[in-house]
Amino acid sequence: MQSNEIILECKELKKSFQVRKRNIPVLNGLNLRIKRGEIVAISGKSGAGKSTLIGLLGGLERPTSGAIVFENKHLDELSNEELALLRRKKIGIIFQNFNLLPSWTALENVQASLMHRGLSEREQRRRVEPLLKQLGLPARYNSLPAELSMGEQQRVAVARALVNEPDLILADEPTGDVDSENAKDITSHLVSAVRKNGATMILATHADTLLDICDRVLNLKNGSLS
Amino acid sequence: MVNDFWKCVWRELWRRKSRTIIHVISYILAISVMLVLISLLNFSRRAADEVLATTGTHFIVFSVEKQPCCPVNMSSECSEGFVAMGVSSKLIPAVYVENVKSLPSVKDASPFLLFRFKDDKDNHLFTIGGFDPGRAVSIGSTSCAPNDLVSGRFIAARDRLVVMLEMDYANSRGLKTKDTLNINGTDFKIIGIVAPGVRPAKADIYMNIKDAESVINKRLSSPIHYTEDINIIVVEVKSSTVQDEAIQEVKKIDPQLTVSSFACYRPAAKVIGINEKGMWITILIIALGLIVFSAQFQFSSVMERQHDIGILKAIGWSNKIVVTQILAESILKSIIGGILGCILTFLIIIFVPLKGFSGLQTGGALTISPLMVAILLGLSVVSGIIAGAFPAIRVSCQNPAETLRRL
Repeated sequence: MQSNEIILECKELKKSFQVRKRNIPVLNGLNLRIKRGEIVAISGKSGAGKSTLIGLLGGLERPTSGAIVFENKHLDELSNEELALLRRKKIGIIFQNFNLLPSWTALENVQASLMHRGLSEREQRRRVEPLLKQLGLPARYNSLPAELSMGEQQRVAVARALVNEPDLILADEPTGDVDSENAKDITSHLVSAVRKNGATMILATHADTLLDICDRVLNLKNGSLS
Repeated sequence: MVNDFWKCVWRELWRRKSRTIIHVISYILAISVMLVLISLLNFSRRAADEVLATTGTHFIVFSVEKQPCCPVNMSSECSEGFVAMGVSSKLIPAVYVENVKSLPSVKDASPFLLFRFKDDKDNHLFTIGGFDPGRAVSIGSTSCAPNDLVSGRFIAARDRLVVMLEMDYANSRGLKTKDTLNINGTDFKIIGIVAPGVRPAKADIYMNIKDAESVINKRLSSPIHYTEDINIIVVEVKSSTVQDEAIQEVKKIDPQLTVSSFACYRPAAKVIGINEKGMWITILIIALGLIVFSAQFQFSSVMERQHDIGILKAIGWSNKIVVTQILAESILKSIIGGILGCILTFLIIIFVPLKGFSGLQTGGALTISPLMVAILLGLSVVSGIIAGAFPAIRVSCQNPAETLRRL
């Protein structure tokens, strides 16, 4: 359910990387405003800076200049510990290549998001198991990521991002490595979970199928959005 | 939260079983070897103390007579007189005995009269040693002891008009036990023959100090009383290690006093010192080795997990949680290793005949000092903290996005 409240705002956001003493600009004065409950797609070619933008919005990276305001908090003013706390409680991230812990089981990978929050093991399982079941992984709780298919791994990654019921979900190519059937299924679960929780989602994607389900599609080109 | 924390620590240690086992074994071996070495060191020190308590722990105190002869008011020829270590000696106040005895490093001190006589019949020279048979501790090591007896018995405190002869003197004079010996007109019954070997207060004839006093007084124009004047103090110190200290203290009582010891304690004490130092250096090397090995091992173990840690930080694990977990893993291994190392040491000491291997017959049983157990457990934990601290600091400085991009 969309509201008029601005949950996330980027102002003149710039990010550049130093590669072998060369300054490579990726984002060049990007401005963005996202309303609570909105699902926004960021499209663009490979290397356009979609993943960098997701990293910045998740507080994984610091901008070169400009500001990111999430729920009235300036991310650039927060310490690393505060950013970590924000990610733990308010932001769920789905990474492009899943980034599952290879030696942790599916269940443990999802549980990792709930750890250190004062929840008992029972409570953690109570939250994780139905979610995995809902995402179509009922019998694979104790499998390691290497024992799961790409689609199953992506479901685990989605479950890990959703289990905290975050206010903001950042998804970087969430269906990039899975077949169309799995992609459709995962997308449907993702969207229904987002809508149900009243969360906001920003998708970085170049898959047309995903663009259809979004409220807004923004194109990232030459370091700024259009 | 604490549950999550320990769950993750156990999980990580369990997942990397081989690494964990190798790391714990390194702690077990290092702690065990150090504890065994320290136990052996303590045992060896006790054994050495037992030996040193009776080796080179004695000396005599006297005052040299600088005049060529006639040290006291002699009624006889100059070849007679009080002697000590083959030189003429002066009388010293008997009160010095108690002064010496009260020194903290001294175990016992007693008066001794050593007088050289010239036989009236054949002019042969012989020495008479008068001592208090009740002061066996200091007399035994400096003059003669019951275990020096070759035949007969040792003089008892109540014995009067009896003597013991030094074996070579008895042989040269053809004397044996139960014979009677006339000294300066007094008959003495020979009750024992002794062979004391090299002693600082060695005499040809040993007798009760009271008898010695009366025999000597017959040669002096001014009689002495052994409770006021003597010519030698025989001293037994508590251990060879405090021999030098005792000698210095004795010289402070009267700078004119001469102290004579055979200094045989010095090489023994030095050798023991070298062994002890070597042992401590070995223990230090093992301790440093343990810290370096653990640090390196833990560092590579954590570096292998950089990507995992990057993911955990990306999903919201704070630096504090990550650092604490790495430290806890390292400390837990060190505690387990330390405790098992101590248990192994107990088993080694019970089942391995280390005392037999050492060849030492003294020193009592091989034991483990609780203080050393505590110190080594502490060292083990400190190693764990140091080993965990470096990778923890390194990981805490990592940017999660950078780590995920790079690995």
